[in-house]
Amino acid sequence: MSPSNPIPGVGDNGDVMRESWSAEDTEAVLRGRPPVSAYAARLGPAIASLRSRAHGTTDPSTVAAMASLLAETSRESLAGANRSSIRRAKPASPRTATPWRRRISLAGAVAILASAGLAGTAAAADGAAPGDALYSVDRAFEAVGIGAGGSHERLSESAKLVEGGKVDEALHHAAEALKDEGDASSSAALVAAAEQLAANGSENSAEVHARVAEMIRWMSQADVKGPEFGQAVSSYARGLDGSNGKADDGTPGRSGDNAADGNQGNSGAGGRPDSPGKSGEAGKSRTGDEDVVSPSDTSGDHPANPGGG
Amino acid sequence: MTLGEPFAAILAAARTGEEWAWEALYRDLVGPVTGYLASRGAAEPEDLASETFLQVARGLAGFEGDEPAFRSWVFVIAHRRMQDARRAAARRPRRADADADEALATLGAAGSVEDDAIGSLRDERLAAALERLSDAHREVLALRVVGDLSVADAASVMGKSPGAIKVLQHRALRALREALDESE
Repeated sequence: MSPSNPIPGVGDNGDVMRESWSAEDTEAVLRGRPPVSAYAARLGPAIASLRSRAHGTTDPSTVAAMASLLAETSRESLAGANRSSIRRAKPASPRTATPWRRRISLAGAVAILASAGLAGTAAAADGAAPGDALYSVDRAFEAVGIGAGGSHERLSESAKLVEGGKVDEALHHAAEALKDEGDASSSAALVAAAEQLAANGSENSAEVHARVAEMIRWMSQADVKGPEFGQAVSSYARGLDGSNGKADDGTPGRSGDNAADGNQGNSGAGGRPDSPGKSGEAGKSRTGDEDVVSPSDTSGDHPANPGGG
Repeated sequence: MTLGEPFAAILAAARTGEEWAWEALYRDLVGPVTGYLASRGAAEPEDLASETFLQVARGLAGFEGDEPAFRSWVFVIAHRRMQDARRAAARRPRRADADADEALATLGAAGSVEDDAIGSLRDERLAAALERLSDAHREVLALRVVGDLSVADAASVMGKSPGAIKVLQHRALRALREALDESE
């Protein structure tokens, strides 16, 4: 095919000048080579800037931890595949791929990881908060059931976010933790509180930081499953903007209206409670199982064999 | 960057759970995958990248193909992870917008700590220009430039023909060029 596939350019600053822009130019720009057209060449710095985003972590501890985890996961998957080839042949029901089922199915991997001496790495990553180099490793370990995980670890991470001045992020992170725990209304209360603080523009005040820090500290020490937890969170959340305090004993203040707050998230902006366990994820992928993008699955989507597309 | 000729041996070793092989695969792809996820608006691209690699590790036993096919497969998984994350974020409307804005801002950022004034200005303009592009245009640029995928591989990920990708990337660049002009 001829490389010349002229596409009219647009004149600079309203000039009437038009330049041709060939397919060669397009490929050159995308691959970081100098294009023929001066018009296309002006994209060079922008594309270089884009390309610079492709820098993942090279932190040695992160790379080593991920390599260990991936190696063990692949070994266990291979063993599992050999054991259950008949079961894998069955079409997966969209409902069978819940996160919890995945964790259960990887119980063997957990045992192997524990015996493979990865406990130290997992423990090192366990204290990481969002934004830390090891945080993605921490989450990856948790995904296969290694490390504490769960709401208390998420809440500890939220506390670190508050310490770093990231109040909005901390509240949403805590909300995610509670939602994962099945407490949709408390989660919604935190989201609503975050919305309120953002609307007030008060999320950066030292006072709000202190209140959020205190609330999260309390949450991380409280019984998440306790009967009073939801009401207490709602009450705390409402008090974050200064309109409702808390009791001196460290428990949330009781303004008398907190009992009505069990579902306050229903009316909050963005506070629609979701069903616990992220059941809405069922059927979210074309395969109906977001985690089972096996090569055979994708053969219809892309050429696993070269030349197929 | 690709692994080239040693890829087949590395893949075979990874299949049997060799740590060094996984380190090679991870090092090679973590940058493009994380960059791709970040550029597509993922709020936590590192997490999604880790999940992507875990899924690759789980599914590698059934994978057959060469390096381009492998890269394409990895990005298909990353793409689906990103879509899942978007759906989850859509349940939090304000956060979804905030995440997208943040991703656009970081997409335009050079990622360099030096951050000189000229660079910052250029990055701001780039972020603003990218914001004007359609989602498909941003997707194809992310796959081709940040993900460093070939036309065929990008076509696989986006579920389009290579010809359609060529047209799309051409239009995306032209739209970016025009948007940059307008932001001057």
